[in-house]
Formats: sequence, structure tokens, C-alpha cells
Amino acid sequence: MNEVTDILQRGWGLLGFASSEIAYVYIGSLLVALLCVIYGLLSWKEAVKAAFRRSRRPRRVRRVKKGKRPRRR
Amino acid sequence: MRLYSNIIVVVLYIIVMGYLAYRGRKGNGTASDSMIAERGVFSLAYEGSLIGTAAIIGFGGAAALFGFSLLWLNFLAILVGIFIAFVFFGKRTRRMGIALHAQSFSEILGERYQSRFIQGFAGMVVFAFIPLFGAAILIGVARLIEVSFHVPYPVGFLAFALLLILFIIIGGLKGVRYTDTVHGLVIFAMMAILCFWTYHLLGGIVPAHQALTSIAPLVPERLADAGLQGWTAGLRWGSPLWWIAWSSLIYGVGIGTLVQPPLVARFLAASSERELDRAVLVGGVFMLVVMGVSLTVGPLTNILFAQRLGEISIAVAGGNTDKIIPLYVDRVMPWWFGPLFLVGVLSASLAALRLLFRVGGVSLGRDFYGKALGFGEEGGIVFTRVGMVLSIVATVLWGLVLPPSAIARATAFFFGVCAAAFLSLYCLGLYWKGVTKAGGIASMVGGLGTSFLWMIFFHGQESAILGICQVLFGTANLVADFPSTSWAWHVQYVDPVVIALPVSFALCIIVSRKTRKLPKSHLDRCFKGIGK
Repeated sequence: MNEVTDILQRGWGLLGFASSEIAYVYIGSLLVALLCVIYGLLSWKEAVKAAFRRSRRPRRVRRVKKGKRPRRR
Repeated sequence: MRLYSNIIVVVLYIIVMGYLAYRGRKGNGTASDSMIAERGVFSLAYEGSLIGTAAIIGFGGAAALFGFSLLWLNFLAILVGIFIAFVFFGKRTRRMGIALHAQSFSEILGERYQSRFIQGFAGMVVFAFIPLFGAAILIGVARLIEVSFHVPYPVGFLAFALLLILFIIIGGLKGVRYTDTVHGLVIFAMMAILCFWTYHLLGGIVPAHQALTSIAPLVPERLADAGLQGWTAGLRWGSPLWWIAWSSLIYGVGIGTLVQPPLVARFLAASSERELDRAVLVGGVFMLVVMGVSLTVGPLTNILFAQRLGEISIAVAGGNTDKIIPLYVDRVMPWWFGPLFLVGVLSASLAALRLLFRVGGVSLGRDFYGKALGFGEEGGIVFTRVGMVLSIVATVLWGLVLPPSAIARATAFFFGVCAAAFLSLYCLGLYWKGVTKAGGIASMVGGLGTSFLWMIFFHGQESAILGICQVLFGTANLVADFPSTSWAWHVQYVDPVVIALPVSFALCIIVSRKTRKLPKSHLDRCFKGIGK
């Protein structure tokens, strides 16, 4: 990990920036966009699952009570 | 070659889009029809990142001056303006809007607090200031036309204004759903290519940043004294440029994205909450690509201009940050990118301006005239159309009178005014049943009043233009005569929103605690389905 940090910081700072603060906000912007993507994908997945469950629900079957004959039409 | 390709592509674009707009036109019968616009994930998120159109040229140019420090704006715009706005405010707004039958930003405020004054006042504020934001977008396109077609700025400006009016006459103010989706994809591709090509020219991401760090000695002495230490070094804390960047651009715009009237109107128009959740994905990526790329490419233009033309970006642009990105596209990017960029920016701007004019018209017609003054729906329809026309005229006039480097400042002004006036009563109104009508009015009027007082007497940028302080006290602003080393002198660079926002929240809470609560039945209706 130290070697990786050294490579990134050769005289210029993290990711070539002079200030670490800039590097952190650069990475932070990407991460917060990733947060939006993950949130959106999770909610999309929930919607797909809910739609799938609705389509799998069995249809209602009308039961005939004992002792009663079905009505003739 | 560039000029001819630009002309051919733009003419083709105008013909195709004009035809599509004509085919897609539907009558705007009622004020409600005028407000309800396209639905769908792409449209919702695309218009949710309304700021993108001002970001591409205006904020990209500002970033060329201020450096990578402005990336904080991108961070806040995604976190606050997309994630927090859609997840924590979007759903509540939609549910409350359904319960109160509200269709506009001003209407949901008015209905929530049972106050025609709030609805009318909010409507007037939105109607009065939204042309300023529209002008920022208009100026960006005009600068692009100026550079791409080598015409004087007023010619480019008026040409685009006429084109805009023509599109509105042919197609109306309701957009065509599938064209807005195509526009979004074009802009996405355009910005992705801009980012990739810039880093490619500079040898990669890290080498590009290293090269920009290396040219820090090229920062002009005047800017160095004002706080610019290099485009990758951040601004010197407490310096004038630091205050301008952080208080106006980053804080004002970043927080103001939460309470944008067009965005709240889109929440109310969303067909479901799932649509809001999915829009977080599209909006987050779209905002990163549009604003993030603008704020990244902006500073990097300094290296390429320095290498090819021997000057940094602001010098190449003659001191006008609004010309930096158009000049970069015209002189550094390959010839085939220019037409793509033109079409992308034209598309984004037309869609954004159409939305802004619609919101302006409804604010005047439905919210102020129809509801607040009590003239009802019929009178509201006529005044909505009057409001749209007035919004268009005001936008064009502002675009003609605003000074150079105005896009970022005008955008920050509008976002700051919205935050100062509406953020407290909007946010607290969604989460706290204890906000009263008096508290809402106090926060809105107090926030806006504080903002204006600060602009007139303290904030150097507006006080100099308004001249009221000069007339009354013989000085540009009340702190200009202090020694430049004192903290008081730096106050003139502090944006009004820094002072007005806490005042607005404080007034809302304090006055609400001391005044009569809204009826329980009304509050139950407002919060029906919320918090369960």
C-alpha cells in the first residue's frame, strides 16, 4: 500500500494534484455518482421483483359448497 | 472546414428539430396542461440536471479560472441536487402534492401553509428571477455561436433568440418526449468524448494533472494575490477568490439545487415513486458527465492553450470566462467535434429554456394571478401565456445587458435567491408539522429581504451595480474602505446566501414556535401517506 501511495505521490501529490483536498473531491465525485447508480439499480431490482411476484400469484378458483348444487343457467 | 461543417450541421439540426417540434405539438388549453410536461425517467433526470446547460460553458469557463477547487460544486450537485433531493425530498413532495392537488412549486407551498400570500409571493419571485437563469443559458449559446461562426456576439445572441422564439411558435412549450431523450444521449456522448479526448491529448489522467500542477508559475500576479495558488493547489483560505468560489459558486449553487422550482415541479409530475428512484441513477450519472467533465476540462484547458498559443485560458479569452470552452472546442478539439458540441449545447439549451419559460408563465398566471389574486383558472390561462411571453422578453433583455463572465454569476445569483427565500419553508414544511403560516411567511420574506440588504450594502458585485450604497453613503459598499488585510474588508466577497439562509431558518423556527398552529385536519391531509 505504501508503494502504491509513493508512486501516486511522486512530487506532485495524489493523482498528480498539488493538493490532497483536490484529489479527495475528485475521487469523492466519482463515489457519490456511484452511490446514485447503486441506489438506482437496487430500486430497479426491487421493482422487477415486485412485478414478477404479481405475475406469479395464482388465479382465484371459485369453490362449490358441500351439499349445494351449482346453479343452472 | 470547421466553419462549413458547423453551418451544415446546424442548418440540418434546425430543419429536423423544427419538423419534429411541429409534429409533436399539442394545444396548451389550460394552465394545468401548460405545467404538466413530459414524464419518464430520462426526461425527469435530464431536466433535474437543468444546471448542466449552464455548467457546460459557464462553469467550465469559471473552472478554467478557479481551478479544480470548483469540483466541490460537482460533488454537492450530485449529493445534494440529485441524491438527497430525489430520495429525501422528491417522494415527500410528490405525496404531499397528491394530497394537496398541487402542480407547481409555488402551489405546494401555498397549499401546505394555507396561504395565498405565500403562493403569490413565491410565484412572483420565481417569475421575476427565472429570466436571469434563462439569460445565463442564452449567453452560453450565443458565445458558442460567436466563436464557432466567427460572428459578432450581438449577432449570435439575436440569431439564437430568434431561433428559440421560432421553435416555441412552431412546437409550443411542451417538448416532445423522445427528442428530449435523444438530446440527453447526444449530450452524454459529447461530454464523454470531450473528457476522453482532453485526457488523451495530455497523455492520461495523472500526467494531465501533473502537467497542470507544473504550470502553476504561469498564474498571473493579480490572480495569485487574490488567492489562486495554482489550478491543482486549491484556493488560499479566506482570500477573495476563495470566498467567491466557496460562498457563491459552491455553496450557493450546491445547496440551491435542492429547491429549484423546475425540479420540484418535476417531482409533482412524476408518475410514481419508482420513477423518482430510477431517476437518481440517470441523474447522478448525467450530472457527473455534464458538470463533472466541465469542471475537469475547464482547468485542463490552461495547459493546452499554454502549449499551443503561449497563453493561459483567461488570457486567450480576453478576460471573459464564458468564451473559454467555445474557444477550446474551436481551436483544440478535432474539427468533427465542433458540430457535435454545437448540436448538443443547442439541444440542451432549447429544452432548458422551454422549461424555464413554462415555469415562469405558470408562476405569474396560475400562482400569482389565478390563485393569489383569486381570479381563478380562466384568468390564469391568459396570464400564464402573458407570463411566458414576458419571461422570454425578460430573458433576452437580461442576456443583452449582463456583463462578460456572467453565466456562472447569474446562475449562482438565481440559485442563491431561491435558497434564501424558499429552502427553509420547503424543507421544514416537508418534515415538521410545527411550521406555521406566519413562520413560513417570515422565513420567505426575511430570507429574501436579508439577501437583498446584503446585496445593496455589502456584497461588492451587486452593490457596485445597484449604486444605492454609493448614493446614500458615498462608498461602493459599507466595508470597501476597510484595510485589505482586515477580516471586514473580505466581507464584500461573502455571498448573500451565507447570511440569508441561516436567518431564514431561524425566522421560520422562532416565529413558528410563537404563532398559532395549522389545523390538525389540514396537517393530517398534508402528511397523508408520509412517514409510514
